[in-house]
Amino acid sequence: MVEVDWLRLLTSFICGGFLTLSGSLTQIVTNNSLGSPSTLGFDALAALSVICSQFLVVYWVELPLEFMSLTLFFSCFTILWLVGETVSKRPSVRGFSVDIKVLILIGLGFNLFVGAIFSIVQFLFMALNFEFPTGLWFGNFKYSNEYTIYILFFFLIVSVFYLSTNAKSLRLLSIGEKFALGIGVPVAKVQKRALLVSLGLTGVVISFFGVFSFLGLIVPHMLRSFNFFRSNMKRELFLGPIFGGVSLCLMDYLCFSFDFRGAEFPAGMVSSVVGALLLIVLLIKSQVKSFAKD
Amino acid sequence: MRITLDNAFKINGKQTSIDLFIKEKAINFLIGENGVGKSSLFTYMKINKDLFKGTRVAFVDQEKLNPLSDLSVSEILAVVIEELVDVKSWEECEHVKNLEIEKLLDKKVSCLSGGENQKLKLALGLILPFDILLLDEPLQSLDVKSQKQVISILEDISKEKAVLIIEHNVKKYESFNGCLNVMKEGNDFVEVSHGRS
Repeated sequence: MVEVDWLRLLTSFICGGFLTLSGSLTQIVTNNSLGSPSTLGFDALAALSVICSQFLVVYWVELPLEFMSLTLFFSCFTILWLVGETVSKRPSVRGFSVDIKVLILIGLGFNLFVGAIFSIVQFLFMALNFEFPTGLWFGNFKYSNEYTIYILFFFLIVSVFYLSTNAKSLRLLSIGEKFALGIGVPVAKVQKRALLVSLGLTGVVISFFGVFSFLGLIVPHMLRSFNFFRSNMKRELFLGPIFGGVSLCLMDYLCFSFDFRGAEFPAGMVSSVVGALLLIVLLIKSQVKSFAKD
Repeated sequence: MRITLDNAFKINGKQTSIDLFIKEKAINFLIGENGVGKSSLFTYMKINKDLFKGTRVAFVDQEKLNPLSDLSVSEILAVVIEELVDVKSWEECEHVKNLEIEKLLDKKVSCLSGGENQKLKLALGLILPFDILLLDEPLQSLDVKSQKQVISILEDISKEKAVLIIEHNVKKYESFNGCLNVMKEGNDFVEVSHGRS
């Protein structure tokens, strides 16, 4: 009989939901079904916080690594928020919405920057005889505990509140930003808020449990292949995270149950491989469809 | 309605002053050369709806509609009806009915031609409750028959409400009875004027 770790199941379920919601929000803001927290550099920022925290907990502050990462990540989050507020105090004719192209390019640039920083950090880790937190890239829920679940619950309440107050604006924004602006949706405000929520949710998952690539990209993408979700963005926003949660939960449960020579497969690794393959299949399928139409 | 505003926004580094006149129950125009800032003014009016002093305004954009989920035309209309309008079906709106969009209803937005997309945008604008209808080049991409159809709908609307059209070629509209606003560029300013006192 396999023992079920309910705390771990619940943690993976909530995290899967967070990543899915985070993906849906970035896709709405970028109006592109390939938009994701990874493309925009959110994953990189959170991963960088974890790496820097590794140094800080040894040399400066005595905090558990995950809480140090979370603190550092949310310090960056606050700075970004304040920068966003001061840069665009009042929407202008050209700046009525967040400039998506610039945003994606900044995200890609930031990803490259973090890649470069990582090689330096890896060198420092070797020089200082530290253990490099390679587990960061292979997210898993081995270290879920009751403290992390309290924090996840806090973010869950924030997300539910955010969705219940913003779902209508997000649904209208998903039709088109110029259309949304015409009917009185404060586009820039809604976009900024969605990006911050997406960044926050991605950050909390990565700080605690590591990177789970592609989940936020693939789940909303797949849901939209069903009419039920495609025709109503609110369903994707409210029910999509449940599907994402169940997927990650199952993935983690399978990884936990079938080990490889005593070592557990990290769910983050499985989600990357499965997600990337599914994405390629979906993209080829949509291309074949559009060729068939022509 | 007269909208006056000094130093509203900057176009190519030049301040824009607006003195726009929209005659009620008429088709009004805003004309100007390419790149003078007509569409920017359109966006400015969207952001600053208080310029219209509480009058309900509906906008019809120039850019193609491109929703994130590949919705069909009927699904997009359903979203707008569900979220914004107090009617049960688009068929209750006489003007939308006159657009003859029945053939498009099951088509996905990604499969619409330029003209069909334009018709969808017009339908979305017309289904909303408004006192002033603002359109940015509403005849673009439409065939001659559809152009006549749209002009006749706009003429119908202008019997009760105000219409403001941003356009290059006013000649297409035969029964033009409103105010002609002109947007032009000076050395260090851009102005909108209508020649009324």
